[in-house]
Amino acid sequence: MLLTARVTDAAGNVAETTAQVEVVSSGPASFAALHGPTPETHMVTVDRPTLLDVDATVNGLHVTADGALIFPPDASRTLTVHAHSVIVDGKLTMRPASPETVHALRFANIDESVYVGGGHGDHHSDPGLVVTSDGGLDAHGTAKSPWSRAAGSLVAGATSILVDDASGWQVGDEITVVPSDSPTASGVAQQRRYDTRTVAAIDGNAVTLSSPLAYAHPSFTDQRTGVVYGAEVLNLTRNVRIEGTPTGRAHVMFHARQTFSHVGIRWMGPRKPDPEDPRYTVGVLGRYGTHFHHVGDDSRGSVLDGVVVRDTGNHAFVAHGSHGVTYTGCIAHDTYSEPFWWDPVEPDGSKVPSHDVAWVGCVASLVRYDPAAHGRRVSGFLLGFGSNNSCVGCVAVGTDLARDSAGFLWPEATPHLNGGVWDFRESVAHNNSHHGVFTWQNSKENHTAFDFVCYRNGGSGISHGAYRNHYQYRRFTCAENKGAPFTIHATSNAIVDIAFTISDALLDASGGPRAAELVRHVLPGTQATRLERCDFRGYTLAAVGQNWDQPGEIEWVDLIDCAYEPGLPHVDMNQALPGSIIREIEGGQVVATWEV
Amino acid sequence: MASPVIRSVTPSATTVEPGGQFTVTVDAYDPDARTLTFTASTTDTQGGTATATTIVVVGDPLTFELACDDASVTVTQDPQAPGVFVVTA
Repeated sequence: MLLTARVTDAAGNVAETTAQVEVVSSGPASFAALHGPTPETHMVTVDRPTLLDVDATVNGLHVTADGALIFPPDASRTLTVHAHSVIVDGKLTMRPASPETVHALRFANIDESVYVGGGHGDHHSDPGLVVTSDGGLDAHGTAKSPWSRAAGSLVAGATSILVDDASGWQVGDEITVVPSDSPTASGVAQQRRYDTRTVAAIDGNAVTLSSPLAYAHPSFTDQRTGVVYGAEVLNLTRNVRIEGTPTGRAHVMFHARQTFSHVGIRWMGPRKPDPEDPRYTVGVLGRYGTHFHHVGDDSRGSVLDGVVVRDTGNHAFVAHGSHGVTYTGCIAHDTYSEPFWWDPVEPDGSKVPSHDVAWVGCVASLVRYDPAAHGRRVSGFLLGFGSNNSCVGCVAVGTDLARDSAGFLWPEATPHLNGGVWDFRESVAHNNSHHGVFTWQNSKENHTAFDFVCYRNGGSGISHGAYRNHYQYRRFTCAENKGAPFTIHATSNAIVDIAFTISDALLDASGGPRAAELVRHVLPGTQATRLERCDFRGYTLAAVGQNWDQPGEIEWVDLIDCAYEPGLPHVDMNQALPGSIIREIEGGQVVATWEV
Repeated sequence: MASPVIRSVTPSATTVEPGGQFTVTVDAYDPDARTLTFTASTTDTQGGTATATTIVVVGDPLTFELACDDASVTVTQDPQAPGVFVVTA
């Protein structure tokens, strides 16, 4: 700064001289000194490293490329933004030093009807957080186990629970115990039996609840592996928070690589009246819980760890045309449409795949649609287009949707673009309103699904279509579902040597008529569908049988080295068309043939 | 009458952090001022003498001001010390 000294005598004679003092930024500037706690301007500009040393309310904020807005590590702060955006070209830093310190960015007074939506226009006008191609969200809440499984069954009325890992959990945290009871139990729909409570006390992995559990949450034992699955307990509290309000939802969008962790994102995803039926609402295009938008290769290396998106009116975790994004331990709870998703098509009908996206240990819980009856083929995880994507160790629970919805879904592909090939394994789908897994593809790609479990879903464990493909489902268990363990729509194609194969599976009908149910086929198979080393249990009619509601195509199935319930038919083909054949093969020898 | 003369402008720091404070001391004088020296002496009955001297400067009172080119900087004069200012960056 330049200082000018002026000295005047009694006669008015003046002398002046100057001195220079350099202002250096070894530390950030004071937000309060620069802007005050309630700036009146439309958009506050942060053009230098600035410490948010007061709770502040602004009408929009722009962090320039040379700027940084820094929440103090040792103090709780809330920055409230009234009905406008926060645009980050520089850096937004939220790194509390202790669990008790809370950093919150809150968007208030939002009128959801003002949203424009879309991705390529002036999306800065839509209220929300937009981190541009030069910007960074440097947000890291205190680390904690994002979710854990209950150690065994939980009974209704329990006031304390034991979980496998409660590291980092705090008194006052909000947790929810997901539904796990039988889909045939009476009372509240099985996919809605959540118990959301506050942690009243904690001792190691023993958690005392603020009030007793309303529902039972029984564990499930996989009879194939012996693994016991307790109900998932989701910790929904984070001490870095980016949120709208219950009456005005905002959005979060990224245009560059980002890495942030243990952030709670709430009340995002604005909705508008459905133009086709104003009784219902639809999500605003492109305004999601988190949205990497057409970042391409520049998003590679992004990691979202332990992030929660909840109470959100649209998709939660979206890597749209954005490659190399890894999500670990992320939770979507009580959201609309597919929480883990990217656009299947662009508005112009073109498709932009996303590659090298990883969902690891993530949970999709309580998925809604408006109305639920319109939520066909909606899922917790939509395994979309692209290459080298992975879904490992994830959980889909509580999808509250319509027919053909599922925990995990391979969506219908078009002839000119086959579906994405995923590394899908070690995942769990349970207590969804309909299927655990739903597939509807005629893909020529070699899809695999390994080492997974589908239990207590309201439909099939797996419902597999569409017409012909050669999916490989290996080493998995379907049990205690309301529908058939495995419903087979598709037949096996012969474009390659690999057949549509179900192998090393426990298919437990749990009192239903069939363990593997053949439903109407649209196209005949060009080779046999192979069921290898399957353990068929719990059926009352036949291990493998037809359940046609209308005429279809011939059956062509090989049952290879499978195990059956004693004293019951292995095959029921009472509706089969001429030319159908099912063979039972043991040790390489055909031991039985059902032929029409 | 000649203009005042500024001998020096002395900041207490040459660098400062945003929001930080420092003092600036402005030293100036009136070149038209005259210095009057008064000498008093006294002699006792034995002829012993004692002498004392005092100096009085006769000149205009000076007014000090300090301004900064950055409007976000605040400058406050010390009311007890003319020519001394507190600056907040």
